[in-house]
Amino acid sequence: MAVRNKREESVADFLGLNTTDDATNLPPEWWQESNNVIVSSSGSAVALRSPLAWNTVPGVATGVSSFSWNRAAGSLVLYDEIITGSITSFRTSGGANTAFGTTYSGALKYKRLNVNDKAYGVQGQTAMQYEPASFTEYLIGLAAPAAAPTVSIVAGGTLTLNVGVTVSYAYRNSTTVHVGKASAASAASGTTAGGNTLRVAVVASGTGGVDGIVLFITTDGGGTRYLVVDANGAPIVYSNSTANIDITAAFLLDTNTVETAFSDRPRDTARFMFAHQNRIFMCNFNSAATRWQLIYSGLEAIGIGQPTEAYPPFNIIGINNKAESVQGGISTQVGALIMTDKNSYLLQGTVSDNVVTTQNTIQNAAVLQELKWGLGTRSPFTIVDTPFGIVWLDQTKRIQLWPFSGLPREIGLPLRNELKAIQDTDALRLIAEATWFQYGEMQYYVLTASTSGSTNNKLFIIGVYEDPATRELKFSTGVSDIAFESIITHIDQSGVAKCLGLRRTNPITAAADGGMKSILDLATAGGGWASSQTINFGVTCGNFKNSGNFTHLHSIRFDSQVGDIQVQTRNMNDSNIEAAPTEQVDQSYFALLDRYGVHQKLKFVFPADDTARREVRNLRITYSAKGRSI
Amino acid sequence: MILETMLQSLRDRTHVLNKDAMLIAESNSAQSWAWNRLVTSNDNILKTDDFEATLAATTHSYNLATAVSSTLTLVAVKWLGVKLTGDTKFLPVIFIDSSDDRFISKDQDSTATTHPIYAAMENFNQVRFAPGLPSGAIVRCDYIYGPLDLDLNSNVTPDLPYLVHDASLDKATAQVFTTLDDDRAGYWEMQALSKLLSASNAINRQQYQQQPRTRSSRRRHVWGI
Repeated sequence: MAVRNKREESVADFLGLNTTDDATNLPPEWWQESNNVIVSSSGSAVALRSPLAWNTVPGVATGVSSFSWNRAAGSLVLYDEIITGSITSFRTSGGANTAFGTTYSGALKYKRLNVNDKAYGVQGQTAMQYEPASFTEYLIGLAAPAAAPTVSIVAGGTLTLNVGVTVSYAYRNSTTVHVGKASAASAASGTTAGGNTLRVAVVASGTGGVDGIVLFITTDGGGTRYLVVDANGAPIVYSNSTANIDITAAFLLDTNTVETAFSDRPRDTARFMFAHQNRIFMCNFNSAATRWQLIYSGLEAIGIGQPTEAYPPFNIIGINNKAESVQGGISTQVGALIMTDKNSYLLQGTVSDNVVTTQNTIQNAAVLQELKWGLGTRSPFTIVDTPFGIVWLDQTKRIQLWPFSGLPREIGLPLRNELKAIQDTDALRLIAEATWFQYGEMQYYVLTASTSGSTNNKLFIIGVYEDPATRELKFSTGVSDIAFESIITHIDQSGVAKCLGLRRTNPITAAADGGMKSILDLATAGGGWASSQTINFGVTCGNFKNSGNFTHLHSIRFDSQVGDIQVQTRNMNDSNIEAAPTEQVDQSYFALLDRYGVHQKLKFVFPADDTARREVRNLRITYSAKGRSI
Repeated sequence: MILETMLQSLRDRTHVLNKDAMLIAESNSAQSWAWNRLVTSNDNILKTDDFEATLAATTHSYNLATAVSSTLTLVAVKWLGVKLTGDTKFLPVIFIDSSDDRFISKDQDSTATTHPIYAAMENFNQVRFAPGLPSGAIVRCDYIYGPLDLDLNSNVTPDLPYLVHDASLDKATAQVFTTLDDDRAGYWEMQALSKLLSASNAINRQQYQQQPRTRSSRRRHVWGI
């Protein structure tokens, strides 16, 4: 076309959805509206494929949480469903599902971690763990026996005690190889006249997994109780039964292993946890007395058992003003980034077990620095680690990136108007969840949150990438009406990374679903879109480089592998819609628009049949600049 | 060339694929443009029809447009005759200017009982008789009409002779390109003029059985009208 007074706008790389700026001010790189379209790694506008079923649909519609369990024996996904008012957990490696574990009442979202190949989980009710092979469920940590053992000297044996000893005991789980907190110490045993037996009366534990008891005894006349071991230095494990343990001869003590006085169980009311410096940090307590605290597992003070199951009672870090709720945190290269509902803090230095001081202090080796951003979060499940920094949804409903120094950068700025629709109740803010999906060409922060109703119903997708030419950090934005209650990145057993979401209701059949669905695999067709779902994006035409106010929007060209993308021109208020047929030349498509005016919306509507990867590349808009000003 | 062929050519040339209504409107405009040029120079391009109408009342002014076929547009009167109640045949009226003394004199008579009857055209479609015609008189008119508008449903074949089709198509192309701010409008405008001249000459080479009585004012040259 030889257009008079021809002008051209070209878009090599789209930037994505921008509803923060007024639509009439946007250049065509930005989309004034979109749904189910993202910016690809090449800068094209690419339609999402519909969600693809990854496992057998369990047919329950109340999924709440999911977790990628990267076990040594092969990866699994754990997910949790509310069935008749209680949480039931399922596991799957794709395909069949297996229900297992204890059910807990209430709609509780799990926060899980892979710790020593086990799946640790908290949900505000019970801190628990799953074994990686048997999938047996145990509590995290073992409580101390309720009372001190009763000791006595009885006839028989060869034991000689000149001064006497005190004894305590603790329960042991031979599967987790954890030893719980020791009981209180017994009364002094008294002396033996020569050739007697020390009898220790213990009470069995009814806690699941406990199958042994270990003893801690002082040296004769000593004050510190040590672990009783055999000649090889291994702990002597007595059976978990209510009985008398008779020590008939001289016993051996491991004087490097003192009584487990600090191996408390964690608080069961934690709703969030994260790992940092070989410790587990738990937080998001909801009582006034504890909401400003983090607790963390022991390490150097835990002589026997699993340190990650032992939580010394003074291993507490508190926000000094006690007016903020610690929502969550994440380990970074410069310390643990801890977020409250109002602010963020950086826990720097090396954390140590606090076994001598009272709570609300930390050891000198660690410093809790208030970052003074005024940015925290009410959505701890949205905090994710990326190669570019920490990304999360803050309490003001903006998506932030903190590159480990300086101030956070609002990477979701173009989506402010979309994000503001996220509901504000504590319960709905808490269930918002995000994942960082980086695999192949994909590199996106994917956030699922609730903009209506009582479940998550919308995805916010932000691409983070370096411009290949300038190496400048850039961001792309998009949204989707795919409703996922939970979202994770999972490496399946063939080593392929999947972005999996937990769906409640099938949007096509409206039937209960509860299955995990894969998205962001642009090469693979999914299960289809619902008739109510659309795939499109629209750009503003009119903010061109012409001095007059009016343009004659002449034609466009775009590149695509397929020719079934519909091009529409419409007024900014969506009236006067005209569909422009396209003509193909090789892999380029042309459409004559012939629209005169100030601003027009150019909308690309993708077919909903999900039969091919569809994208729009290299958009060129040809127009005629008019001298008319009014 | 039928309308669909013209439309396809217009679509191919201009890439306007989804606005057939606009293309047809431009084709009709182009057709009118061609006809208006040819009608002044080419006797043989005139399209004619006739009607007879019996007057129901004494009539001084008669609107011919109300009597022509509803699908046609009257352009000019070729022949107008009146048969009074006592006449056995139609006799032509005598067209003179309404300011002519004879017309003025006759116009003041009572209704016509004999011929001659003078007539003058007013407001393009109306004829004024002098004297007025009595009830029962019959008016017969042979008239020239403009080309029928193209229509995808009712009129798919252009009314103009096939020799003019290419010129008309090119003119329509130029007009569409003008709408599109396309500078090829000038090329197609020149093509249209050139082909219309050729078509005019070719039409005048066609055989006549008899020269028409009404003649174009300028027969030889279309160019520069």
